[in-house]
Amino acid sequence: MANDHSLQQVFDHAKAGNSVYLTVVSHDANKHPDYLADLADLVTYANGKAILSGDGSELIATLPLWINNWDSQDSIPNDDDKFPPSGDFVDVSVKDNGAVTLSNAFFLGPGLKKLPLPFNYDNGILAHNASGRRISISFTLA
Amino acid sequence: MSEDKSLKEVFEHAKKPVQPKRTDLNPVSEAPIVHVTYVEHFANFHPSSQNVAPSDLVCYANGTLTLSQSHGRHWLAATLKLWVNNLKPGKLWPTKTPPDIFVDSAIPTYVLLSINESGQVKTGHKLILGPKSTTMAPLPNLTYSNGIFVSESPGQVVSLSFTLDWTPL
Repeated sequence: MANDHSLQQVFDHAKAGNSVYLTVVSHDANKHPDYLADLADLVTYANGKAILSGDGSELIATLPLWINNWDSQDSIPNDDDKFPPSGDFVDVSVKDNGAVTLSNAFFLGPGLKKLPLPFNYDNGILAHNASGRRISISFTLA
Repeated sequence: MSEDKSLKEVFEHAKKPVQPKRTDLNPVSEAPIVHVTYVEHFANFHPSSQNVAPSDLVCYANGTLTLSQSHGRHWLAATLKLWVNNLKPGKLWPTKTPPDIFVDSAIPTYVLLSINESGQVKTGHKLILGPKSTTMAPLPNLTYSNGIFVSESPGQVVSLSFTLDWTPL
């Protein structure tokens, strides 16, 4: 695995036929997971492989989402199951100019299908900060 | 449960006195409690072992903060168990979504946290500094906005947020 220090490096790696994986994390201050409503704020996690678009200008991925709930099958909070899968997915698009589009109700709120969000890239991590929320996306070059 | 829109609200909640439970006919009391949700995302570190898609390191902690006073200033502090995005061995991928993407490490690791009323946040990361470390350093480039602290440094984002509630005594 190699580390990336610029988006150019990420896209060059993908264009050379190598794999790029995304790690996506969001943290919302004023939303709560269903089963931890009184204890925690909402954190989502997604990870998986991205595909380079035909024109080489966009990395696209559909990733499974994990949420800091506990499994609803459990009767009590289970330390061994801190992030059960939500059963939901997020579509992520990262363009070579740094533009990011996400689609998922957990990220965007109910009713919103797709939303471009402003992100800044700094040494391997794309970060988006808004009132009460932050989202970060990083790349793993394999 | 109430939402915090400023750090002042968080500390004002923590300082509230014990009070009779508001909706209970029995003579019980409840005390204010502040929970913290803590997340770290490192771009160029990786989980120590995983048999899932390659990923960068993400750490998660959640727990209760304790109010204390030192040198005339109030602090909210905790030592919290840390979960890391390692996958429990033996799970299938990608034929099945792993049921447990964040697992306990074999040797429990912790993060030290302290927050003061003026908005300084110090952390000590025992995963990186070692299990006996008690060193804490201020988070750099820290901003608070509508319930969430965010610290950004090259290749790293840290965020923490608060959940305000009451707990029966």
